[in-house]
Amino acid sequence: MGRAIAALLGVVGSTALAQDARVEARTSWFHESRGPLRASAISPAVTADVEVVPSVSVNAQWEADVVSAATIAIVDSPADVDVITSATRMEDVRHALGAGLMVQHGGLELRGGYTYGFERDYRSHGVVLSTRLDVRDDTTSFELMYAGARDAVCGLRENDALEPTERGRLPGADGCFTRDAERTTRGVSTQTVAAQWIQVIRADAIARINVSLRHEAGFLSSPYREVWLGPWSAQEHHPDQRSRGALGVELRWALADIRSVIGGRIDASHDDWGVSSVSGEITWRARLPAHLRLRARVRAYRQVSAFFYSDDYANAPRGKYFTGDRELSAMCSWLGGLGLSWERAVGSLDALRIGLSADLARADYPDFHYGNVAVPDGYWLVGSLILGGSL
Amino acid sequence: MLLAALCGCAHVAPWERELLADPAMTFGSESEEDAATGHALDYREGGVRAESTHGGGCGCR
Repeated sequence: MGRAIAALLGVVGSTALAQDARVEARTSWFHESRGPLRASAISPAVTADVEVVPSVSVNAQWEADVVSAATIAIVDSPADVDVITSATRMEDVRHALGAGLMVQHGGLELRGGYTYGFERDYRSHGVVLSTRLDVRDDTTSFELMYAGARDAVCGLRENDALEPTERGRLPGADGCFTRDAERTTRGVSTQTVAAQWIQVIRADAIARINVSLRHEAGFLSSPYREVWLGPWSAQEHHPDQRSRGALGVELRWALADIRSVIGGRIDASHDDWGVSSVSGEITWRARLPAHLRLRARVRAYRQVSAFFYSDDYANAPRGKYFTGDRELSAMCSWLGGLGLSWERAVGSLDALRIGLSADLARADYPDFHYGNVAVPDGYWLVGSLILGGSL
Repeated sequence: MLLAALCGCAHVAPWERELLADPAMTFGSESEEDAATGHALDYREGGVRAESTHGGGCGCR
């Protein structure tokens, strides 16, 4: 048996080495500062692609999020409860494993993939199918994509028999996805269809247009959040359907004299919860000496609140739904980032690549408070280190 | 108007594509660099980006 496995690994290994192969490892670090409401996450990931036979590639991915965060138990609680210092800390680890296949024939490319994600309170099965067609001598390409996911969220079983205003929050992930009689799971399904058109405009300019439609159904709230309703609090209650649409336009323009590429993009989205958003981003990419590349970008984002959002449901309710999600309030954010990468052939490797990047963002939620307490200044920072190689 | 403008693009011959061959002119070439920030934006904003496949409703955050 051992010899058979060794022989199989040998065949697979020699096949992989004989064909094109690419491996990339990434580690990212996220930190969000909101006074005492700090959150941090470390996210390692590994991706591998191997061309097993000409025009057919397989790929595999693993990524994880090791998260530590403070959570507010009851949003908009009475003034005599100090929600900031009484916040509890949560720690969790999410893993996602994926595999996929890509087939190319002429100007046609087909991709399919599956991902399984799991953490203590969440399970997710996702598939992605896409097809891309290059036409007009590779100056035009069209891509269609479908992504579907069926997820399960942990919840309190006793909530099944209660009205929304009587339901309690999940106190923690203990007992989730076990035979614990006090826990249950609630389903979430997500269907996304998207289309992309990439067009070479001139010898130094290229554009892209993206359109996507998404429908989410099931338990779309956080099981951990409670909202103060006046006489008592209850688990936040969102609609169980959400339809969203998004449009993005991006342009890149090469400036040969300064060995740079300037890019700009505008994105807009709208959904039937009333959340509309728009963002704009400008990116400068430069080739530097010694195989180095630099990227700098700035981005601005703005959104309006969901129709059922209120900062005080006790005195200003908004129908039958209530939320403690600050991302459903009006908000704006700014992001600035720098990235530096180095890539060149080394030894038997066609390319060895090392990348470092960091993005700093500030978000403002003018209409969101924790009870009588404004959200402390919100900054978050993402840093990534990437190491990759191609054979 | 943008669609009409793109449809009328001049043809670019293969030998005129030196600038287009730069990886910085390829959409998606920085997907690894963008992955972590894209993941954070998916969770930190109520809107949705056209190229994002993140979904689901759980606000386990």
